[in-house]
Amino acid sequence: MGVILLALGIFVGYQGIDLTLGTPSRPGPGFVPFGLGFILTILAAFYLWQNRSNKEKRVSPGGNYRRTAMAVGVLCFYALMVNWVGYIFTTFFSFIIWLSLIERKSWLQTASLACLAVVAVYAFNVLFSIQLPAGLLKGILR
Amino acid sequence: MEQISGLLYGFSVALTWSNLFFCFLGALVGTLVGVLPGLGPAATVALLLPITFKLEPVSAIIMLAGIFYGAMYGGSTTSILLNIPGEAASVVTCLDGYQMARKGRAGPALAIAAIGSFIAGTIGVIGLNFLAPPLAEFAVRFGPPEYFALTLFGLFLAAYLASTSMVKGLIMVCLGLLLDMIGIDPIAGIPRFTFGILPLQEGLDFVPLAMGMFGIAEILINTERAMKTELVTSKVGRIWLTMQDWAEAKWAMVRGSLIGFFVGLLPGGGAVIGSLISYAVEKRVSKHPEKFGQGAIEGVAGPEAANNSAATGSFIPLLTLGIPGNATIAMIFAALMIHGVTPGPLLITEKPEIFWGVVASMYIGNGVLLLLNLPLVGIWVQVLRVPYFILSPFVVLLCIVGVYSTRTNVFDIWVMIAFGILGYVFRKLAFEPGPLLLAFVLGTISERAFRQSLLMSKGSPLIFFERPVSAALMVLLIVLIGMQIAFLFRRKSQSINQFRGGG
Repeated sequence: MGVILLALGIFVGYQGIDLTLGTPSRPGPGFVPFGLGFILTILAAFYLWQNRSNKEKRVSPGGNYRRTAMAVGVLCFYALMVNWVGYIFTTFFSFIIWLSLIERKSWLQTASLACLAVVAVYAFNVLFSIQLPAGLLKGILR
Repeated sequence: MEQISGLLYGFSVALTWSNLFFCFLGALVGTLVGVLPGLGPAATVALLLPITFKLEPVSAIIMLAGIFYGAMYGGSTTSILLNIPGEAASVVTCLDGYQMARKGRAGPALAIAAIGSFIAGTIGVIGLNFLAPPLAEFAVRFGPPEYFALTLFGLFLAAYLASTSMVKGLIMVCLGLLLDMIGIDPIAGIPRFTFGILPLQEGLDFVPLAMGMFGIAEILINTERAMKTELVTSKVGRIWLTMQDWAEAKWAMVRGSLIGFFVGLLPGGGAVIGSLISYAVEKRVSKHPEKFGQGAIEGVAGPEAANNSAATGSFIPLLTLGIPGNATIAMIFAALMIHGVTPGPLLITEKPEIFWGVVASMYIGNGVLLLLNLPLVGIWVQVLRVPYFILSPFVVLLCIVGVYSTRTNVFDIWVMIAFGILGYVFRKLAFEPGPLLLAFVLGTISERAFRQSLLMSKGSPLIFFERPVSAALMVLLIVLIGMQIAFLFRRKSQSINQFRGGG
């Protein structure tokens, strides 16, 4: 993490120079980013030095990363599919994947909660006029 | 008196049917959020932010404020019955509240938490009522140097108080300020850090960032752990307090209210620190400190009072200076801005219906919460039985729909996912997301004030030391930084000495 932050600090500093620094009496758009990049670089270097000497790696205990990765996968699936197939199908299949693969629930529980989610999202969409993409159901849904 | 007439006007706003409904709804949702583990008030305000777009500004803020202080009430229920804090400010309530429940005294523990919260909430609102107007009057004279010094001081305190490590807190502040710079430069009008991506020209939107960092990240953390909850008791029993309970708890509630209120005024202070300080104070002043951790009623009354008055106190810097002090207040700041209301010293004079309406609604909300949390506590116990596997995908769905509804753009869903992953990684590495969000909100104010100050002084940074308020804040900041550096070096030399001694 420290290395990424260090690289980011240097990158932001360079970008600040590119954006025009200006002068202290007339600071340009790159003035503050340059300063922030400089401070971030120092802080990242200090963080790296602190971690090296303290041997401090990860504070939070590890868990089941597979479940987390699958949850991120479902989120990406939703973002990818919602414009194409519409919010009704995307919500239904996202719930199916989440409950059957991540939570390992029975098919009855999975299907009933997925249907409930579809009803909820439809009601939400109509009630608050959100205009979620209808996708394949364009012309059928409001 | 101006405050009394203002308050009467506020009641005329808050007592309309629609505002009463939103006050009740905020208190109800806040209690629900507080009761359910794994979803804090910051995440909930972020989730419900898009829903408020269609409301009147005053109704929206009344509801969001209700969620914030309602969560402080509800958080104690989970701490007492499950030994899991419903939200971060109820962590210390677990210590003695859970022990009381194990000894069959869940009823008195829940009762003292609700009564303490009510007393503290009311003391907090009285403080807000009488302190905010003179503070706002004073702040009208503030110019760019004062605002820069205030935001800088606030961000430093947020990094200092809200994080376990000063360096990590400051890194988060830097990242928040950098994220806020994406988009068009506020003075020169040139795009910065957009890398040719068109949706970034408008800058990053607050809603996907906040929902990702708080809502999605929280779900990812909880999904990893496959959260399971187990009630210590399903029967709350008699909720009335004995005379001895009352005698032991009354001063703890008063002390907790005052500590929480003043801590709440500090940027980065808020409810968590208020409750921790209150617990430490109660343990110190108690004649029987050995009872703490074994079910001492003062250990529930003090911290629960402190977290409520801190929540109310943190509205003062927001409504009078336009400076949010913690993540949830930053969300309410964003809500005000979205509704075209700029919080700051002119709010009381320019939008009195919002300021006084929200203050009056807090008096009402505290009464509503006492009713919701005392006689209806049995219902909240039942809510705790809702399995987390049902809750989590519905929260995710709410996040997606909420984010999409702000700008009807799938790009924002991707932004939310990216910040969800980032927020998850930050939590794993013990980087607190609060300072990042505060910096993101304060970034534009801070940068504009800084550059305007330099333009005013023709490039001399001494302008920040020439005016009394900014000079006092800058000196205080330098002293705090100096103390931190000295502390770090002393700790380092101590550990080297220990190593040498051990070797």
